Amino acid sequence: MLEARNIQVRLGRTEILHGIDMWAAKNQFTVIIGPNGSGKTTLLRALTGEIGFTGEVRLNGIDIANARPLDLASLRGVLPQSANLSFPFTVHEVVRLGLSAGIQTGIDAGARIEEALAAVDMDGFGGRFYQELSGGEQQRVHLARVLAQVWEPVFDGKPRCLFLDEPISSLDIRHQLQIMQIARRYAEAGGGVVAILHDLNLTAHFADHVVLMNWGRVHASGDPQTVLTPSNLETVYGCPMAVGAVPEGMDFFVLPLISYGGSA
Amino acid sequence: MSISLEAGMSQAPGAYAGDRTVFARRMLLVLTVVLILTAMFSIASGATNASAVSVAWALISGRDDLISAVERVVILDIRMPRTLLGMLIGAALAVSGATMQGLFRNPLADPGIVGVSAGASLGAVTFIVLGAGALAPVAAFLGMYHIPFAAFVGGLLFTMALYRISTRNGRTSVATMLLAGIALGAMAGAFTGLLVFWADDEQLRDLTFWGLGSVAGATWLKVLAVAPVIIPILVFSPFMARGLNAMTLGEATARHLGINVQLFKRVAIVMVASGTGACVAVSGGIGFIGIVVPHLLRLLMGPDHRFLLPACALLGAVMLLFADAIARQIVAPAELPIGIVTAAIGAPFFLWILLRRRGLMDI
Repeated sequence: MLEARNIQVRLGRTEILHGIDMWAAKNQFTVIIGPNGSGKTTLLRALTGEIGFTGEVRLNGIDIANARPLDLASLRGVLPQSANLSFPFTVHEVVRLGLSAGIQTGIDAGARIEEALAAVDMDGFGGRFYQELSGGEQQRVHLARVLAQVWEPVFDGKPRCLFLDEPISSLDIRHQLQIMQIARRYAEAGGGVVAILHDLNLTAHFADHVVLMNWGRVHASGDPQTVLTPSNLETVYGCPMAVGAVPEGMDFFVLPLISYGGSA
Repeated sequence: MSISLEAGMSQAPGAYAGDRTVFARRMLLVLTVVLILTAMFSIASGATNASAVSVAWALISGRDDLISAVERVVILDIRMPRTLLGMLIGAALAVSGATMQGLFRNPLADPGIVGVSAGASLGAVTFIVLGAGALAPVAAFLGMYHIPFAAFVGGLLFTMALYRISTRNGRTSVATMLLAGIALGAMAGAFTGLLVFWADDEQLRDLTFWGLGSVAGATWLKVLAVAPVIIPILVFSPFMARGLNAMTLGEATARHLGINVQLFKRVAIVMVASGTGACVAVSGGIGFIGIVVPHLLRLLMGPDHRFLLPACALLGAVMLLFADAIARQIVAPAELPIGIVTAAIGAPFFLWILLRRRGLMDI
């Protein structure tokens, strides 16, 4: 559903992305990983049309550079890394901002908002002021807002896509798993999910498709087993890793090789 | 705590927690009633002992002999245009303030504080001083609209400059905005000063009277000059609500929510500039309505612009009439310029709000 060809991005004089080709399919949870400064966020911002780029990005066949914001808003929701809010909104009102585009006509907005809050384990928080919440709670409120915007993974026969930039960066482990489940279920229900993550183990466990970035290029992409190899990870992250499989339902796990006494 | 209580107040039975829609609708109703009462009071009261009721009765019954000519003139030609003008100016100032604060995502952005009014003043002063000389053909072409138009152009240029300077990559820097506003205001002040220096005695009298901010010289002509600008703004403003709400999350997110941000910003800037320009042109610099009214209403009913903008129009009108009543009566039979009254009440009030809400406002 998402295809990007030869994406190049310049910020000032520096070229950040040097010709990226990637795709993300419906029914799949696509995860972008890579070290700090490898261009993950820049790529996501190009994929969502937030910054100028050369190349071509198509979402459900629509060229996003020429699409109307309203049409795009009905096809995909975008969760930014951080969002600050300048006015004293309640949590309920923040989530309602997700319904700005007014795509879901005929549904009860209030009920949708409650459902979205419940999905991120924030039920009962509707009446609280957004600014009074902790960082992790604010992050979940924004996810609820994005979910409210594109609640049905498939709408009008077309798959929709979630773009999540580090959705679990300030969450505790329980909520990390919960958000990953939400993304997983969204994909299983026919939608697409593209997320930037830093946690390699969660990536290994939840992702269907992994894009490993390094220095503004795609170093490797494909299913987790083929991308998350010790050699790939060591090249990109610059520290030795062990990748192993465990039985009992888990696929495999990633461990940094921490050496004591000697150099890493 | 008080803030949570305010949010709780809105909760009607069966409503969702944090949904202040019902409460906001009730507020609009209350404000409408308050505005009607204030307007009636404003027409009925004044230095001359003229009865608005008997004038109204005389007009309705068609019996002119019931009232004196003086009463007729005082009510119909002095107080009515003054009340109407006050309502239009107050509504436009508050709505422009709220729109600008939404556009800049900042509760401190007010046309009066960040130099837009100064820009509009510069435009207006340019025409007051040069309107009979160098700019005479333009003034003649625009007729009675030439000063509002000049103020609009001044305000527009300054708003655009301010937005360009303070916004980079879709993020507005508050510090840059306030400082740029001070610089732009000072620049406008310098040019205005230069024009005042050139002005002759008669123009100087015009300028002084106008610069203090007043609705005292209200005439039907002035009402007709600004109504075609202000009324469309007030009617159109609710259509900006969706965009302003989305913009509180930043430009990029507003776009992802389906807003055509470029178009939206242009419309909002033109709205702010024309609203401010119209106000400055007929009443000079009346400060603090544009910042106190939206602020107060945000505390009371939340920042949802769908309700905030109409509520601003209503409460702005009420506040201006109220300030005008004080200006007329405090030193009667003389009058204070209304700008002094709004600043004297508005500035401390604003400081109080700011101190009380420091924690919740991301300034």
